[in-house]
Amino acid sequence: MVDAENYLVQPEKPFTATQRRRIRRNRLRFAKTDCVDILCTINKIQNKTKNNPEQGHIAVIENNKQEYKVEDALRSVVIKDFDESILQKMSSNEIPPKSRDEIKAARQAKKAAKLKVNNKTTENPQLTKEIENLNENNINSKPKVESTDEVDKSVVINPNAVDISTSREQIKADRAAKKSAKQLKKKGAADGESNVQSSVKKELKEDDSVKQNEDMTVKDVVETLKNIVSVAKEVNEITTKQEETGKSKAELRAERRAKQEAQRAAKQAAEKKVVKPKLEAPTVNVDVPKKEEKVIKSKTLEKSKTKLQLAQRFNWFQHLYTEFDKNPLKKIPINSNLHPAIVKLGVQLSSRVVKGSNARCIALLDALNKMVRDYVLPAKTEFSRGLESHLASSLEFLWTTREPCASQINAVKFFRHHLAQLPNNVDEFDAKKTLQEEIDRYIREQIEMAGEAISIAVRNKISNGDTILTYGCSSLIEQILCEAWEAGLQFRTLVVGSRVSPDAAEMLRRLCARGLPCTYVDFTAVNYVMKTVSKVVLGAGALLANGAVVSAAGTAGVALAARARNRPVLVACHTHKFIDSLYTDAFMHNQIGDPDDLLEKSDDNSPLKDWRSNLNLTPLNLTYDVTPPCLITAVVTELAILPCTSAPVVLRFKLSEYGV
Amino acid sequence: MKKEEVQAIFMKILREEEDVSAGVAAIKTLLTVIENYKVSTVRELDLNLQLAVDAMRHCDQPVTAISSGCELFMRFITFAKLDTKSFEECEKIMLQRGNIFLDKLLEARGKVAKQALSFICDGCKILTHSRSRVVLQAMIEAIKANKRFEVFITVSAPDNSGEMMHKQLVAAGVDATLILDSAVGYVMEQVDIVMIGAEGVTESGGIINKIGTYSLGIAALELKKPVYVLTESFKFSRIYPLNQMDLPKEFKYLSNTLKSGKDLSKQHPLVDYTPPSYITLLFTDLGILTPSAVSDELIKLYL
Repeated sequence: MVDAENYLVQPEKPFTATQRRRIRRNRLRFAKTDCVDILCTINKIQNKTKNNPEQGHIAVIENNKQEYKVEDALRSVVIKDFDESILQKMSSNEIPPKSRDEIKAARQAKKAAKLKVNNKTTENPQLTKEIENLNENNINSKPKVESTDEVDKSVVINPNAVDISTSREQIKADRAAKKSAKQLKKKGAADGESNVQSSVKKELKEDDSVKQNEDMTVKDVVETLKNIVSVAKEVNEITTKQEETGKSKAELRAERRAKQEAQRAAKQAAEKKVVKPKLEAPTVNVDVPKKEEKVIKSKTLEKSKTKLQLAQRFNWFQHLYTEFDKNPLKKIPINSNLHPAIVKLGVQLSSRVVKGSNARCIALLDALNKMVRDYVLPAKTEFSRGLESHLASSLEFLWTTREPCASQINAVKFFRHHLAQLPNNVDEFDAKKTLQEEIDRYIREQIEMAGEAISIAVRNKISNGDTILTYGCSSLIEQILCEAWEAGLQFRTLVVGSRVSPDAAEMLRRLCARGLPCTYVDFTAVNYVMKTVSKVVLGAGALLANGAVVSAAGTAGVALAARARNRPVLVACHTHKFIDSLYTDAFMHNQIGDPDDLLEKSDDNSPLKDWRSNLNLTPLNLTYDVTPPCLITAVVTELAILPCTSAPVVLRFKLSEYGV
Repeated sequence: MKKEEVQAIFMKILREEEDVSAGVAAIKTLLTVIENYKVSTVRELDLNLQLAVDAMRHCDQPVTAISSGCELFMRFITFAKLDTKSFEECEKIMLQRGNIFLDKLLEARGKVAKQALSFICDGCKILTHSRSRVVLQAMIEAIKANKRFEVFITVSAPDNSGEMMHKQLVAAGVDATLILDSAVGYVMEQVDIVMIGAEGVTESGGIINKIGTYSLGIAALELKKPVYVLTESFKFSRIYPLNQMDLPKEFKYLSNTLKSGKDLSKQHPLVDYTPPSYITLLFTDLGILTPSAVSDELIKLYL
């Protein structure tokens, strides 16, 4: 089609590049990408022009009309379901390699025949030469615009070694692939169309540089096929990943560029070390600017720079500042074989969709379940070894999205324990079945049944007329209170929350929905209301070996206030959250949350709004804190109601039972 | 088997053997039940025992030791009842184990008393509360070991059991002084150690004892005096009271009071709960334990 257009246009008046692009864009926008059909029609047209060089322009014009007819027909196909069309494109992209092969083979045969015919015809050698010259001029006149699109780049087209027929077909295929890739990327984004336009522009730019090229070798065919396959695979991957919506074009382009660069670096050398430019620290500082050097290895995940400047890190928590990047998908190398469920979980964890220790644990086990189910054992590998390495890479990715919590660590230990216990020459199906059953059992016993037992135990401690105080949001506490209410106990609930996290409001909403009489107070009022409270019930993220409780930041303060008024403090904690480590403060292990959470979002004139520009201001948002055992009256587990100091006893008990 | 019969046996044992505590008497009663009331299945035996325990709880005796002792007894004997051919053999085994348990219990007191010996030094002043047979035995052992010490005993209203303790101590040759319950704060600065018994030990490591123990514990903590609790291991119970109100009603009031339907908030409770933070050490036949270790031992016993 390109050729036809040029033939048509060149003698009359030259279209500008933009005009040409627009024309092409309009054509491509509504084209149904059935590559084979298009290619066939094109081929027919080409054949016609070739067979009738005499007719030259006239024939071309006629043929163009035919082409346009074809295009109109295609355009008239109204695409109702965008997804459907994308799926179609997807499927069509998957089909090509095979069919293209066949077609190419057929075409090559035809080409050979044609060449013979062409060589024989000497009727209009001039015309043919003209055509060729024009083509070459076209090649020379248009500057080669390097496409910045990763998809374009990855499709390496050797300008000098592609035949006419195959080049056209290749262009079509590439265009179709690129377009569908871009459409998928921009799926759901408001600026979808403009992106498509821009993407099409880019495509066209590159297409301009690719003109009739002769003398294609089989090797080049294979190469181009490979490229097409890789593009198709990329497109496949992109559909399985859910990218963040609302990203600007520039960001996406930058992303792709970064990815491309990384791949280039990986390709060129087996292992290269690149020293990133040192972070520039402002000249006036209180603390010494640290110089960070990051080493990028080809096989490990890339870590992107932190968004905070160094001066705005709190000194005592330097060890906790990870390279906090909201989009975990940037870190996945293109050829990774992570299970989509794992990737999905990673995104959910990093965007805090899944939060709370129980939810995270169940989500992780569910993802592992799927991973085991879909795991394909490579040849000559032992099942447990193979799965262990696959598991390790999956977990490596997951822990970069969010630090694991105690329940997740224990769940993984449990899984690994059972994986290691599989016999050596176990049948793959049996092994998978065993592992999946074990996971289900863990969830059922350690989380669900334990939750019920704890609920009953705490219910025995609640009497009529009590006022129960709780902090933040915990699924277990919600279960306890709701079940106690439904069992007929009459009590009031006080939910304490903080401005920083919306958890407490969520807890309040849930309790009110079940009909419990609740009150909400901010953390600042906890001392004031404590005199009306009879008992305090708290949830836990983890229980340490000395009996200290790791929980959402603010829990220790509530426990302290309760102790000051001699109110009993109960901590409801499943035994699977008990961990063997011991630390006494909230500095050693913690998570730095998003500093923007500290801002009052509804207040436009908030003095914290421009904290990034103020180097003397460091918002610190810690996620967890540690409540010492002396402030806690009792820990309620499914085994018994225990004093805090008996945590090692439970750990010992668990070790003997579960080997974790 | 009828309730009244069990109660009769129980009361008889209590009357005849002065030295025996309510808990031990209860266990003896249970053994008698197994021996005398023949049944044909294990399930029936279980039912019988449960009925017996229930009967004893309504005997107007302090329930704490009875319930914990009986529960441990049942766990102990049923621990090995499986896999035997006939029920008679089963019963025999259970009886055997029951008697072993009882023997262990009777020895327990002696063990505890011996352990306490090293903590009673020459010239020390001991404060104790109400009547405890274990503490009595410990002091008698100390006298036999030629130690010189002084004892302050509280009268311990409403049943004035402290007076009986005082009599027994004086008869044994101990230099004992009877003080009012309200004088505990006054005397505390003179004493060196506080030694008390317990009717029950809770999972938290705290104790349930005659009313007035809690005040004693608070005063001792304030004046930095160590509080030693002398108790046998069969008094360990699985309850975990969070505060005084959280104690089960059966422990605090006599069964008659509970049955009579009076307003409990106006009745005097018999026992109170001393939280583990007021207790220094527990002397038991399992060893000398800190309050936090009690939970450990309990888990070993029950899980």
